[in-house]
Amino acid sequence: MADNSGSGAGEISLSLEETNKLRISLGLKPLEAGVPDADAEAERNYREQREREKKENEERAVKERIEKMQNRAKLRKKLEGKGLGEANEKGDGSAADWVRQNRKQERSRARERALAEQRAQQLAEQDALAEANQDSAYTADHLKGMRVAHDLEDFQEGEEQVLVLKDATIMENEEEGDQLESVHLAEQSRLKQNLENKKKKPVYTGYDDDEFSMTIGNKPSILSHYDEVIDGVKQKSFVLGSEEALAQEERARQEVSERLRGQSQSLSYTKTQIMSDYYTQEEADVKFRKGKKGKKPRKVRQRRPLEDTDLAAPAASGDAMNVDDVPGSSGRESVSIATTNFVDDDDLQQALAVARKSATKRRAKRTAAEEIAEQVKRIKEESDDEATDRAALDTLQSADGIERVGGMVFSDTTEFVRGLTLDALAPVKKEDPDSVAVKQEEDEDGAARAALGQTIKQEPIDNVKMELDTTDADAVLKMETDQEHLGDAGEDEAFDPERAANEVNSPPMEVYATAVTAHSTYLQHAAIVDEPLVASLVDRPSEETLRRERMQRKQMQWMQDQRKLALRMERERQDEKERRKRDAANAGKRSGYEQERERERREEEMRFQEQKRQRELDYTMRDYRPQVELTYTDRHGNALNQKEAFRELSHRFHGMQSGKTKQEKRLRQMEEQRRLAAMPSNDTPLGTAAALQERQRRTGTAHMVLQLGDTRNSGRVASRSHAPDVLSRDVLQ
Amino acid sequence: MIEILCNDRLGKKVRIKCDPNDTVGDLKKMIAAQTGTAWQKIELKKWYTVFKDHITLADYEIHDGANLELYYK
Repeated sequence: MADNSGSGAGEISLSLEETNKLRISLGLKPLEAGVPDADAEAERNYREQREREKKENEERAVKERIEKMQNRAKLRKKLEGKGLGEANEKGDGSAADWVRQNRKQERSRARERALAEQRAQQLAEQDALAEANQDSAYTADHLKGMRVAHDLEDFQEGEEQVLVLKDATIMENEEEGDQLESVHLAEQSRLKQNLENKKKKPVYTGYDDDEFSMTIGNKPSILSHYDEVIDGVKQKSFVLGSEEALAQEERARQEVSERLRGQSQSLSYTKTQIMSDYYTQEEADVKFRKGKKGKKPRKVRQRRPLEDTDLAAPAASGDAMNVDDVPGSSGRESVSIATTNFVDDDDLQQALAVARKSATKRRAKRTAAEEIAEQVKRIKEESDDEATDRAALDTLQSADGIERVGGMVFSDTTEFVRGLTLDALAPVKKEDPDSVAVKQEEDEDGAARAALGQTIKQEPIDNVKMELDTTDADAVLKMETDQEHLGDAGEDEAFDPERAANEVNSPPMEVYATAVTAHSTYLQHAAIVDEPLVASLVDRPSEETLRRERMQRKQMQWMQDQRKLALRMERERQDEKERRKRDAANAGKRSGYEQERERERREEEMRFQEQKRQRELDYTMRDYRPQVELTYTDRHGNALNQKEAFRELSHRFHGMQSGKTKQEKRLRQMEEQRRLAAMPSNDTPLGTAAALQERQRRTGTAHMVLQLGDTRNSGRVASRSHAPDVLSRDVLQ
Repeated sequence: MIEILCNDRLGKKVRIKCDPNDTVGDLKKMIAAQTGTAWQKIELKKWYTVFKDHITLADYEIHDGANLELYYK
């Protein structure tokens, strides 16, 4: 550490000696002094290289020399032994010696030959012995009981197979015992199996090939393709010398042949058999299989015994006016018709035929006079019943001065008839007799048919279809049926023309008159007819109606004017055309200047015409007031108000609809409204008011006592009216 | 013999004479003898290569006049 401060600034370094000292103390080898001389080193390296090469050369030379020596020694070794010249050195090369040696050789050769012969003989003896043994011991019997691991079918006739002991593991051998196997056959079967596996046949092909390819005796078990999976591969084998295998085969063959024999058909037939028209016994025995079907219970129409209710049925089904009529003997057929349940067409046709026949019979029997008598009788009965009717009729008759006959049926208007009162009738009577004119036509022969030809003339309301119009076909029909009933009833009665003449004057006129008013009110309510029409009947034209009428009249007027105008203009146009044609004809004769003037004139004229037309149009259109009524209806045909119409349009435009519940609700509302409209205006749906009025009329009292609870002490009235519902029922009866 | 320069750039610069067959550990011991630091505390580096004690200088290809960085652990 002497010169700690080395050469550089701040560098610490040691001298070589100090370093070596330190290295020694650290256990390192000391450093060599000085920088190694490159030339010296190169020289040294050269020298070393030369020495190495020299050494190598020497070594190679030595090796070559040794090899040469060895080769020579080998060659010399080949040349060792005696040469041709030196060969007889031993036996001194004389002829006697040569002969001696020759004989010696010959002797040795003979000896060898004898030995070989002896040995051959020995072997032959052995072979013979073995052969003898084989012949006596090893036969087919020896192999009896050996199992062959092949199917018997694998061995073909006249084919030779070499069987060897089967190569098996100890376990297999334990299990199966020694088995014989043909290597060739085993290989073949393995190859076949591999090919089968390669095919990858589907289990089910959809074809019925299997059924036909199957040999006759072998029917495969169900799902036979799984047999190998479940039971393992079945090894076919047979035991040599056993009868079992052969027998089995024989048995199968026999089975098949037997079956085939069973199917065989004899070609011999009885040629002399006579064809019979009837079944032979065998043919008769042949039966067709019938499907199992439950026998259907046959429908048998049964006749129902006639009852009292049945007899009453036609009376009930007839019109109300015939309630009291007793149906005659001919009513029986109609009874059966009415009560028969028409199940199918045959029955219906039969029943209709019966009905028709009976009807024609009856009609033929009855005379016109009888009919009149019956009718009269019936009318009389009715008019007796209702005194008020008579009063009303009298008043009407006095007003009309016309007598009338004939029954009328208002099937659809019974409701209104029931609801009518006398005060509703009064204004009609007062109003004017012409408005409700009833005309009766009578035939010369006085046939009852004339009584039916009743017509009602109603000038102000002739455009309204009224059910009152008795010229209507079904009304006439109804009357006919009525008369039939009457005929039945009055057959046994004596004909009294005088009485009939009297009674003719009493038709249910009241019913008729009230019906007219009822209709008018009904129509008004249901808004079926225009108001002016109703008003003309009821003598109460409203402001609105008048206005509408005026408008209509104006419209009509305007349209008429238009038509006239159009006609006139058409005529003018025609004239113009004529004139033009004439002018054109003349134009050819004129000069150019004149033609020019003519054209100008024509143009002027046309302009004038145009202006005129315009003015006319303005004039005509001044009064043009079209009645525009914008209405919207939904798909049910109901009128819609503004809001509803907007909704409908909006829905159509956007292609959407209200929800199901909303639609249902609207339908419900519509239904309700419809029912409300159908309801009579002056009554409850159950007709309570009508019932009340009826009762008032019958009892002649304006009041009615309604009482609940104990009715023992409250007299007749109370006993008849326990509760409102009871009342209504009671009155309606 | 080769000479190696080790600089810690904190004021110590050591020039060491050594053999190429010396290990880095030997070199460290020699540095420690000259600087007075324990040789275990010395770390020699060249850029990011930290030289390991048991490998010779020749194997690291440290030749004459090489400059090593000297750090203290």
